[in-house]
Amino acid sequence: MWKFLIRRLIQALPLLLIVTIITFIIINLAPGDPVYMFVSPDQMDKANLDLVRRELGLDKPLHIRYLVWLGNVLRGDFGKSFFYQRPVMEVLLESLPNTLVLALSATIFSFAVAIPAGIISAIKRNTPIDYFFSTISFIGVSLPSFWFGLLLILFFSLRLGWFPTAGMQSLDVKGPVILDRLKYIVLPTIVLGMGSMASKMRYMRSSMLEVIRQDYVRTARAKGLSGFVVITKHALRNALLPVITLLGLIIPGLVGGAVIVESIFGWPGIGRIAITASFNRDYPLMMGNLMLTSTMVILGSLIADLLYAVADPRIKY
Amino acid sequence: MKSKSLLAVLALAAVLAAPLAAQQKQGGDLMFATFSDPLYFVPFMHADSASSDVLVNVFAPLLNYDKNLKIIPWVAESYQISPDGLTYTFKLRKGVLWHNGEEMTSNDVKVSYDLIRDPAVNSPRRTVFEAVSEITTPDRYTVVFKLSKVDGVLLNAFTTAYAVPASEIQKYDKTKLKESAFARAPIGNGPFMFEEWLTNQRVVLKRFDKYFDGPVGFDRYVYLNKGSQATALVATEKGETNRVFVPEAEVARMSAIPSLDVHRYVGNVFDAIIWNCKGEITSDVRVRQALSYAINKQAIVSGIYKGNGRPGVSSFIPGTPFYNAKAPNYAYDLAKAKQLLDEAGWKVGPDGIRVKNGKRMKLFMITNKGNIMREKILQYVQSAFKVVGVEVEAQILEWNTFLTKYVEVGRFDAYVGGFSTGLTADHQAFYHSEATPSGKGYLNRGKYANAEVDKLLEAIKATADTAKQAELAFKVQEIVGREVPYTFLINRTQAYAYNKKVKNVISYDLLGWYNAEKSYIE
Repeated sequence: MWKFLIRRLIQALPLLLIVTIITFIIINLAPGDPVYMFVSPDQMDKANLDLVRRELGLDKPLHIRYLVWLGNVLRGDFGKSFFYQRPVMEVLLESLPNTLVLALSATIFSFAVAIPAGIISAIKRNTPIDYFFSTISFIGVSLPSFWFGLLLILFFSLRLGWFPTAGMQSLDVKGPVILDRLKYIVLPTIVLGMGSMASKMRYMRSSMLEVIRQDYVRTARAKGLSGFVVITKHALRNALLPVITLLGLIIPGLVGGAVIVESIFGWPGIGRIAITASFNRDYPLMMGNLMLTSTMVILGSLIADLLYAVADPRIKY
Repeated sequence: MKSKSLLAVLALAAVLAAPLAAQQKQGGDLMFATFSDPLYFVPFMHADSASSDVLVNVFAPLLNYDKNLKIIPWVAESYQISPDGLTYTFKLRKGVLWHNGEEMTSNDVKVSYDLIRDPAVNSPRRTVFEAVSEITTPDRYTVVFKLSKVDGVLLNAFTTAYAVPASEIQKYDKTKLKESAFARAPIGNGPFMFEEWLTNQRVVLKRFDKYFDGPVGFDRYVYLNKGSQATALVATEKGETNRVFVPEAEVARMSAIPSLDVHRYVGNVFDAIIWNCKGEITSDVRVRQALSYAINKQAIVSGIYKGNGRPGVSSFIPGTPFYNAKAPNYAYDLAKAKQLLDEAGWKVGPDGIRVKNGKRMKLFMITNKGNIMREKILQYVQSAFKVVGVEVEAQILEWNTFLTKYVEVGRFDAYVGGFSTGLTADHQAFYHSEATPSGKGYLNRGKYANAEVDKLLEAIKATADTAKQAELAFKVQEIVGREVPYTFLINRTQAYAYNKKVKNVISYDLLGWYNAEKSYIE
C-alpha cells in the first residue's frame, strides 16, 4: 500500500513537469503582452515598454524564462502576480479554501442525489420513475451552467426570495454563521454539482443493473433476504466501484466549472482569480494556478485509486 | 459690547450652519453592486476604475469641479497661479483631518506629489506633473509648486484625489507601494473611512464624522462584488443592493422596475471609427469623408444604443468650453458620399462594388469581442458601406489579440473603438503625430499626422488661459473635422440605477454622482 502510494507520487512528478512545459508554451504563445499592465497610457513609448519588459524578465527567450521560473518554483517561490502585485501563492491560497468548500459541497450534493436516484432507476427499470430520473440526468448534463445559474437566481432569489443572489456571506450576519453561509452556498452547489450528478446517476444505474443480475445477488435473494438488504448490503458495494473512480475524474470538472459558477454567484474562489489572470496575461499567476489545480487533479485520481481498495477487498496494492 | 459682538458672531455662525445641519439626514448603508475587484488603494498608483470608485470616497482632492465644470477650491481653501504661469500656490484649510486623527498639512501634500514625480515610484500619473520642478512648503498650510514650463492642463490634475498622510506612506518602500499595507487599508481625508476589504467579496467604508465638509449621510458605503454584471443587476432589482451601473442594453428594462430610479448623464466617453491614415485605401481624405457621410449616426444612437447617447461630433466633449460646434461634421448624406468616392476615382463596378485601377474597394475593419454594442456597430457599418459600393471584411477579435496583433501594428483599414477623455483641452493623445504606438504615445493608432495640428496641440498645453486654449482647440477641430482621422459615432450616456430609498442623489453631466457624501437612505 505505502509502496504503491510512493510510486504513484514519484510518477506524478514528471507528469506535472510536462504539464508545466506545455502550458508555459501555450500561455506565452497566446497574443497579448503583460507589459501594458505596467505602463501608463501616456508613457507608452517603446523605450519605456522595453525597460519594463526587461525588468519583468520577458525579454529573454522562452526556454530561459521557463528554466528561471522552474528554478524559482523548486525553491518555493512562485513569483509575484503582475496584476495584483502580490505573491502568487498569497493570492491563490487566500481564495483556494472558498473554492474547496464549494467543490466539496457540490460533490456531496451530487453523490447524495445520484446514488439513490441511480439505484431506484436500476431497480425500477423502464418505469415512469426511471424515465423521470433519466430525463433529469440528460437535462443536467446538457444545461450550460451560466444559463442554469442565472435561471436559478431569477427564480429562487428574485422571484421567491429564498436565497441571496450572490456572494458568500452577509455584510451583517444575523443568527448563526453556519446558517448564513448555507443560504449562500445552496444555489452555486446545485449548479456546480448538476453536471457530475447527472453523469454519476447514469453510471450508478448501469453498474447497479449489471450487479443485480449476478449470481450472488440471486443467491442472497434465495436465502430469503429482504430486497432492501440485498440491494444495500450485497449489490451496492460492488455497484459503487465504478462510481467511486469518478470521484477522481470529477475534480477537474469541479475546478473548471468553478470558473463560471463563481462568476455568476460572486463566489470569491480561485476560478475568479484564474479568469482575471488570463484576461490580463498575468503569467506568474496563471502558472501558479495551473500548478495548484493540476496537483489537485493528480491527487484526486490517486485518492480514487485508494478508494478502490477500500470498496473492493479483492484489490490490493 | 465685547460679549455682544461675540454673540453676534455666534448667531451668524448658527445661521450659516443651521441650514446644512438641519438638512443633512443621516443613516443607512449605500450598497453598490459591482463585478470587478479593486487592485490597490494608493491613490496615485491605481489605474483601474474599480479602485478609483472606492478612492473618490476615501480621499478628498485639493480642488474640485462645480456642476458647471468650473474648478473650485476644495481641501485647499484657495489657490493662486502667478501671472507667468510658473508658480501655483495652494492654501490648505485648517483642521482637515486624516482618518487617523492627524491634521492634514502642507508636508503631506509635498511628500505625496514628490512621490508621484519620483521615477522610482513609477506612478502612472508621473507625466501629468512633468512640468513641476520643485515643491516647497513655506508654512504648515501653504504649498507652492514651481514649474519649469507653463502647463495648461495641470490645474485639472489637482481635482483627482492624490495626497496621502506623509507619516503613513513613508513607512513603506517607495518602489513597492502597490504591495504595501497602505494599498490594502488606505488612510484618507474623505467623507468615508476604510474599514474592510475581503478579496472578491466586498469593500466596506464607514462614515467619517470629522469630514471637513460637514456631516456625511450614509452610515456605510459598501461595494459588494457580485461576480458578474448580470448578477449585480438582479441583486439591485431584488433590493439586496441599492446602486448599480446599468449598461445601455439594460436601461429600458431597469427603468421599468418600480423600486428603482435610473439616473442618466452624459459621460466623457465616445465610440468612433478610427481610420488607418496610412492605409492603402483609407489614406485618401475623400474616402474617409465619403464614408463618414455614409453613416447614419442617429440610427446608431437610437437603434443600437436605444437612445442612450447623442450622435458623436468631436473628441472634445460638448458641454466643455473646448467643443467647437461649427467644426465640419458629417450628417448622413448618401449622395455626397457617392460623389466623393467617384471623385476619388472609385467607380462602381459590375457587381455594385467600386473599383479603381482594377482593385476592388474592400476594407478590413475590426473591433474587439465582448462589447456587444461595438459588434453591432461594425455590422451596421458593414451594411451601410455596402449601400455606397464599399465592401467590408469585418472581424471581431479577442481583446489582447485585437490590440497587439492588429491595432498596435496598423493591421486594419479602420476599427470601431471606444474612448474616454478628460475634461481638459489636452488632446495630444488623439491627434499628435508622435502619439502613435511606435512613437511616444499610443492612442493615435491610425497614424494621423499634420504638422499644424501638432503645433496647435502643443500650444494648448503651453498656455494656462482657458479662452486661448478654447480658441486653439477650435482650430484643431476644424482641421481634424476636415481630415477625418476619426469618425465620431456616439457620445454615450452613463446610467446608474438607485433604489428609491436612496435619497438626495444628484448626478451632473460629465461628473456623475456629485453628492455621494450628502445622500442617505430613508
